[in-house]
Amino acid sequence: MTRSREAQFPAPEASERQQRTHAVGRCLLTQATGGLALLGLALSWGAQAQATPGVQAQATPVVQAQAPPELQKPAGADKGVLLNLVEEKGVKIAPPAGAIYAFGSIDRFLHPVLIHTFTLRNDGKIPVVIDRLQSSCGCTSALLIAAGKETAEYTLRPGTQVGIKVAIDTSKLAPGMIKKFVWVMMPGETAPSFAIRLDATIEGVLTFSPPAIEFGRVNAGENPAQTLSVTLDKRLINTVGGVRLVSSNPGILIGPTPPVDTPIAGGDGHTVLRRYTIMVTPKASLGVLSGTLSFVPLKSAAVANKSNTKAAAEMAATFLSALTAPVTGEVFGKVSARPGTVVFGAVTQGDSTTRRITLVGKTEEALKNLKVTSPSVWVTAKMSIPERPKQDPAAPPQKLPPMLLLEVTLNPKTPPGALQTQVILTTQDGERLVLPAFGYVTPAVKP
Amino acid sequence: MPLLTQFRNTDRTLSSSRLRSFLASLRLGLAALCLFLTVSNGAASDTALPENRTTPAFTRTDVDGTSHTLAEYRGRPVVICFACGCRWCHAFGTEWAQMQRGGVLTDAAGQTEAASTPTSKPPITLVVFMGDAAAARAYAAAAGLDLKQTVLLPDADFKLTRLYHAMPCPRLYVLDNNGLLRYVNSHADDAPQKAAAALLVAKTINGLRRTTLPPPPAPNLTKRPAPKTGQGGKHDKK
Repeated sequence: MTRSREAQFPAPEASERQQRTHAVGRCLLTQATGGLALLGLALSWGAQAQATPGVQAQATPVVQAQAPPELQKPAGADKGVLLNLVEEKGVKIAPPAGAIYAFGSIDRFLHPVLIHTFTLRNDGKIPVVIDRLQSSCGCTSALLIAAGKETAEYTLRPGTQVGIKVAIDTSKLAPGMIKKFVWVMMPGETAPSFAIRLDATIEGVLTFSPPAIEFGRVNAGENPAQTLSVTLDKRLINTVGGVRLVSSNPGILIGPTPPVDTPIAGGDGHTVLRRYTIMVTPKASLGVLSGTLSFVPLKSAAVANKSNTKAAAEMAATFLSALTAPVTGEVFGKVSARPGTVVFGAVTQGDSTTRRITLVGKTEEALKNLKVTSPSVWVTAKMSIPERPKQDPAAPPQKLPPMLLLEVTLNPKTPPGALQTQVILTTQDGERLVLPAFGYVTPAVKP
Repeated sequence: MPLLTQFRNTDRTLSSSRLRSFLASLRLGLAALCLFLTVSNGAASDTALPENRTTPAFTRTDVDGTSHTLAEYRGRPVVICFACGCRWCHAFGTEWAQMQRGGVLTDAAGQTEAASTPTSKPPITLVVFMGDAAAARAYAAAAGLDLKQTVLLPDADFKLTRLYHAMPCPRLYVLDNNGLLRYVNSHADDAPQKAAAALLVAKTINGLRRTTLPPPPAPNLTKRPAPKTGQGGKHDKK
């Protein structure tokens, strides 16, 4: 055992506010909703995959389980609280108040959601009120199951048992070893009464190499290219009748079409390799080059492979869209902007907010007759000549580049919600400098 | 008979006294309940560290094995992002990367000529990842985070996560040059796993803008300050 005891079973942060019942109710409601969504997801996928998406009980070898220091004295232990998981295949009990469950190696194609129901038993002599279950990650949800039904709070009498249904959504998790936790909490206690650690090794069904494409500085008119290697699970491709790699930024081109699938020598037999060329188009707009590469199904879910259910195809499409490769860089031309993105931040509706951007031209000529537009009616912009910073008369004169000040204003009447638009500057030569613009308008609070 | 009357009167007096006492207790109880509910609703419904205070010191090793302390970032704004790789963390990371790439963080923290109180160093993002180094790298790559502006701190043992009361994820802390916590997403509208990533990013940027302003008056240490429910309000306006 190389890891510390504490490292195995970290407990959640604790505060007196945690104990407040209505907050707990909200927490449970959220967990219940998330859990239901995950279960629905798993069931729909299971129909296609012809396999139970939850349990992989083949336990991989685990270290000798030991409880962390804080769980050497779990909450309520001094009052006689004694909880234990009922032993089963894959469960390693870690006295006095912990257990490890190993899902083993997970084929995400078959098991996008890992589900397992544990049985918690009260081995003490006093009733134990389980206030809530807390998970260590947004991808993990846990529900109390009593008499076959979900319950928010449960009183576990001595000698009786209650189910803890745990679901881990693996769709967004990176391949590799994962460790997640579920903590059993009692009301009025700041420490957990019991901890369950969930181990799994996630296999990749879609991987990008490199995981991100970084073009760095690109001069306008150039078209640098990079190679992207993708390993894809053929089962995933077949479920949706083929997939196509697309870019969210029209300034990024993808080739070749159609791609060539190469079987991976010595692989698992259902993984293929595709090589793509990712290129910046010579006509790409100036400014921050930002986008993502992702796969989309060739066919819609409704006309997907007949042997699959519509739900499975939709699930596969969701799964594909969850895995993306970002593309970054910046295209430089005669005009550049600092910062290269307009961010209003969070703005209360009714407030007028203006952001300043400095436009720098390679020459005075480049800044002449600049036109500013935006596809959003809520954003306006005007240009002015900025005040030059005062220079030290003793220092040698510095030659500053030609500059303009761009003031971008968000209309106070902008409706609440996320705003994602652009501010476009067009030079007299026809070069376009695109500034992404973001903001989030929150409703005005009535007094 | 008079004695009995006296007893009865005494009894009545006693009953009235008990009733008054009971009513007083009830009023006190109701007041306490109201206060409890107000505090519970007004303050964060979670356990995040309070704003306008310094945060706990820590030492942590990054994905390359280099040791980092929080103290070494004094003098520059710091965004601490606790993430686990779930869909909420992924959504935030992807949007945050766009802010980094667009030079927004530097601008928000007053690194421009227009800033009234420019800071000496650009802001840094510390991603405390609830997993191992490989998973932390994978998260950063998938989100497109700019590693020149980011330090990846794996937290597989959840020690730092617990120290900062950072669950649920994504939890965001914005610290100013002096290590004072100027923003945490613990309010009713920006709670983790409830607020949209766009809102979290917007409010974190507002938090960075706040770092250029003078710190608020020292908080009353006997009472946790109520978090601001606005988004920076006037601070955002030019």
